[in-house]
Amino acid sequence: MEIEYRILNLYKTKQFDECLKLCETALRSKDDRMIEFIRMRAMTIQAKVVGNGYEEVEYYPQQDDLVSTAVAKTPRPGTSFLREAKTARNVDTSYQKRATATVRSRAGTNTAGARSVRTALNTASRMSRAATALAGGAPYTPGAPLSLRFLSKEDKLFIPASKTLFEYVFYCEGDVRKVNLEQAMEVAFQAQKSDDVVTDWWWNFSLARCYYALGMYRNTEDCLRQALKQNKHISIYLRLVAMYVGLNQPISALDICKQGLSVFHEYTPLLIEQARIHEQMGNAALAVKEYRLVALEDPSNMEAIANIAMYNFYNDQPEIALRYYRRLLATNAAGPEIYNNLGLCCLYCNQWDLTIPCFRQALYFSADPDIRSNIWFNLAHVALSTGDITLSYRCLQVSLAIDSKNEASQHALQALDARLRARRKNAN
Amino acid sequence: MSIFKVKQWWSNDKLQNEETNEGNQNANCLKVDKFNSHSESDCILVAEGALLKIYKPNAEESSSQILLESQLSDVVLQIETGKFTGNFEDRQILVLHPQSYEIYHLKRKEGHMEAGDQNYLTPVIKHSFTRKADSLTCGPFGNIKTRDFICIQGLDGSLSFFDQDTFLFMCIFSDVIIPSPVCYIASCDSFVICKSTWVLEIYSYQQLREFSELTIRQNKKNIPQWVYNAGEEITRVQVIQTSNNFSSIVALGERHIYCFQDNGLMKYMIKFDFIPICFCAYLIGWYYEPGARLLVMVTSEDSKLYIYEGTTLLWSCSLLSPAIAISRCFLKSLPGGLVTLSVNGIVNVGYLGTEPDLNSTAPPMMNEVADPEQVQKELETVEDSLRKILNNNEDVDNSRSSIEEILKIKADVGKPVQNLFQEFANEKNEALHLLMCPVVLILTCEDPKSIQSVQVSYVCASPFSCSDSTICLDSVNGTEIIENQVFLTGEADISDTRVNILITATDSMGKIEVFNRQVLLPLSLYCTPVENGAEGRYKLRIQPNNACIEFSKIFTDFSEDELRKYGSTVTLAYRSTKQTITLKSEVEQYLVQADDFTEITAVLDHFLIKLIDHNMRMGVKDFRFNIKHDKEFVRQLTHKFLKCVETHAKERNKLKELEDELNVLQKQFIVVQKRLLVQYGSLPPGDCDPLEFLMKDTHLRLVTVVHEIISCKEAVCRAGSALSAVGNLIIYLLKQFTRDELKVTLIEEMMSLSSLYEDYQEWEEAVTQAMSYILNNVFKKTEKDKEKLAPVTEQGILSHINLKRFLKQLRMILDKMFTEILENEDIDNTHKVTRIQELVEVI
Repeated sequence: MEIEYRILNLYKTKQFDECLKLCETALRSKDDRMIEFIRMRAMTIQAKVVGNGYEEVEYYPQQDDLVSTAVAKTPRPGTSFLREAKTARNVDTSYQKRATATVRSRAGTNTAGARSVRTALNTASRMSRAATALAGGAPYTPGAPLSLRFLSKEDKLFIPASKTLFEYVFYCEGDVRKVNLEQAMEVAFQAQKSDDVVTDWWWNFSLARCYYALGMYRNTEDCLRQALKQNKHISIYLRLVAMYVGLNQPISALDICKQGLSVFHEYTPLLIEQARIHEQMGNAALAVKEYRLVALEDPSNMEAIANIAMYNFYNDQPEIALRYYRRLLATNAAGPEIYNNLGLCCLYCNQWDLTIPCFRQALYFSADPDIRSNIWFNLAHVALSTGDITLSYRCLQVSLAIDSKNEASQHALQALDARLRARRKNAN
Repeated sequence: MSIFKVKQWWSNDKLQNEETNEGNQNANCLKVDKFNSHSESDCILVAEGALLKIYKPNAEESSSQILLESQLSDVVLQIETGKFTGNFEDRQILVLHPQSYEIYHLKRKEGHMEAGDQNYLTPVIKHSFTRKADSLTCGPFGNIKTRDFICIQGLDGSLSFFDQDTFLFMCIFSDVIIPSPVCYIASCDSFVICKSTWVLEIYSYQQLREFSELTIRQNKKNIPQWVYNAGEEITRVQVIQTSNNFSSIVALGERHIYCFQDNGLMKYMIKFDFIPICFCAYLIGWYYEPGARLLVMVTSEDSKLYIYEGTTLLWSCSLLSPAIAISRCFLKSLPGGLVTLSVNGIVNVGYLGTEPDLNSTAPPMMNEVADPEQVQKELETVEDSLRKILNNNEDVDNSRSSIEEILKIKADVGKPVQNLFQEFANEKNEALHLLMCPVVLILTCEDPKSIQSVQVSYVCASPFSCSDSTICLDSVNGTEIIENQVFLTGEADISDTRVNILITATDSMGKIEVFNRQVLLPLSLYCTPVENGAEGRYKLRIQPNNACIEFSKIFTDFSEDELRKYGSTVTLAYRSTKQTITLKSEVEQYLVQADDFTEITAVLDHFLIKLIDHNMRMGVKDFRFNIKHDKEFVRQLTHKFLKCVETHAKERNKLKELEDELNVLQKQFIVVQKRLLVQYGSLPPGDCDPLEFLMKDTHLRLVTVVHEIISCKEAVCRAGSALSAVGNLIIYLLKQFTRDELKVTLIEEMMSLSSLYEDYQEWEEAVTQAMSYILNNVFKKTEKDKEKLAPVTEQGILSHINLKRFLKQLRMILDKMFTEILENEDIDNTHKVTRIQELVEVI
């Protein structure tokens, strides 16, 4: 079988690793435009997958280093997440200290379960991740596609090749150094200029991606709006929402969600975004309603189910929450959060025999000190509810030994200490 | 995502070859269709490489599952079925090779027994062409009812049309780089063509035929019926008739699936959060009935199957192996089966079963039943031991002392040696770098298991520097000797000639202990004896209580001959600053004289230590000495110290100004770059020259400022060294005179001279805080003074007014300390006589 057919087969069945290897050998012996492009595409797709390029919505904190185009930092009241969070905390602190601690910790670990649904790792920037992925996996010869980059726009191949080229530069070469991003933009600008079809939404969309990565939000918004005028593609809506959320403008984001939902009825990604925003703004009842809609459309959506379960848990219906969590456990890979939540549900459902095993399982799975510390905090709560103050004391100490910054544990330990001292004084 | 799995019903994995060739299996080579000769159930046609296989799976074990296996002449690219010639009733099989296609007829010859049936393919048509093919689509183009035409897409994206074995015409597209799917829509006699511009274009058959003629004649634009700009590469397309008049076009992109009506109306779009591989759209019910439902099955890269109706997910389950092609089949004993083709050519037939395997993903619970009493007992013992550790500190102390016993530490300095190995690029400091002094640390440990790790840190005051500041040892087995080099790095005043060695040891229990060792650097590392210089401006007399000793016995770092020639007057020159200090031994006293205070500190310190050391070795008990000084000396000293502080602060101010400038410049640089970028991108490109000039200019200024900052930093460090040298001398003198130890310690802590360390020069800030405490609590200032001298809060410590106040406060403290000393001495002098009398009485 000729090598070009094998390459095509591998490419079309998405076996990119093998495909890249074959491309490498094929290109060594001869110069073939198609194979060169296939290689470029395969590398781009791999980088895109690793770099979460398909994920239009990211909740990474915006880093605005020296960005002169950033928008104003003080939002009008009621239009941002920050204010809401602050008031929520104020309510908390007005409680008695001991009570707050337990309540808040439950929030902490529970949301950990829900959040982990989002696949994104919010550590490194996605560009650098993509770059490292390539460096590790595929045979990478940076010199090769350079010849293609300088396709003149008179070339009749320029228009069909430009999108491939752009994505390649954006994902594979656009690492943290913004210089390469600028190159990607150059490709985009050239394409836009030469394109007599100025109405191509994709170029506006891609320019927006560049601007976003550069932190130029105003330009991002303009480009996305322009793209939306040309084509109502789902990615544009999601990007717009993500941008507004990143800019801390939830009202605008909700508006976009509404617009999008009027085009794509009951569309799950948009519904999820809407629900996330509502949840973050503290409107849990509305959020859970939307999560229910999502679960109806897509019953396998983990995030929706986890959030419904959490809502039920806080709504004093631990039995129902327990059922949701058990469903999650049946359908998904087990993790520390899910067992932790199951354990808490068991505790509140008075299923004493299952509580400790659940927590034990949670500890077995947990590797992250944050989560471990939270689990120990919850164990302290369990111990407290059985009336064993010394054990609770020890659990809190373990929790703090694992993560000394666990605020909830600190407060709880302080409260317990005060209580023990008061008791001793009374005894004396 | 789901608890369900596809139930396997039949598979050809036992009939497959073990070895697989990468990329051999084409995803287009799976076709399920029914033939007249086998009318009772569907046949599955698969091609792997050049091997064509036809299966007819059934549930019975005994009968043959495989109808035919045939090795063809060339690689198979695609299999299609249809009526390609008018004169056969049965459906024929079309096999596409890279440069030809063949049409076969499947026939069955019945044997005497059931097992004797014989199936064979009779070739009907064979046609060759020159352009390399990629894929094909077929159908009744041009609404011809009698037979199917063939459209073959070449690797270059050209479309060639054939009727049976005749070539009809060809269309060439210039915007296809990687061939993408092409599909025929029967209901509107059009073609879906996916381009490398990631656009879906729909052309009618008529249009394509005209287009083929146009390309020959002139370069006229051919506008498609309608387009959809998907913005991503389309990997598969399927057309399915969904009603009497309409078909649906389902197209799979990288992450989306699009569904259109054949008139261009978008029905829906789904975004996946997995990587889709292939899909199969099918109809439940008949298209001519109104209630027909269009379902789409999608397989993902992690071998899951999702079934959607519209955007709603109806079912999801796990496929047992990843599939590159999927189809439905109707077998005799399995209506509505699921056929999947895997990468290595294995065909699986299955069905969507229920009977979930609950908790299949969850690992078994570690839920051993424990005896509560036993657990309680364990808990109590743990509690007991915890309490012991917390309450009885002796337990802990015992083991603590043992670390010191286990680990024996000895530190020493060697003789400075010429460093000939390293070459230094900057010739300026060459002479300094050439001398290196080895610092040797010997760690001895009998039992290597009792020590987990040891970390050794070296601390020395600038301008000294260590070759390694930290050394880590994983274990100490027997005796470890660590050698480290100390050398001079810059032309600054020397304030401290000791090297502090901190040893952090972790024992087997995880207990951490820190030990401290100090070594004195040899004088020869930083000084050389020179010819006698002029008399110094500042003099300090040291009166020992016995006769003076020769200098050669004190300064043992130099050889005796070297010093003897100078006799009773020795002049030492610092290697770093080239300044000199002269020591003179008179009968009863030593005289130390230098031009500046900064020179006195290091040598005086060294001299006194050596003097005491010498007397100790000689066995002289009750050795004491007295440093004589006068008021003028103290006044000058204080003055010099304040001067040093002022210089230091000034240099720091200068540095800060430069840093601010750098900050502004780099912001400006980035803004200019951004503007420039916008100019480059704007339509039409704007005038870039002024911006480019501005950028270059800014860059030039950036470079000069950075150079200035570097030199300024050095100046700050130098000022810091001078400051700490004079400060150390003050502390030393205070220690010698004062009785009030607490006060001196407080003053020493306040000055925190050791906090000045290379890059860290924020000394003034640190001292201000401590000073206010000393002034308020030790010297008990009046309220009025406090107000007058309190630093202005809204300005930095280094601001003009605050610095002035800072200096004033410092002067006040030092003056007070020295006047107290002088007063004490006066009192002492009067008391001396009486004391001697007392002594006599006692004797």
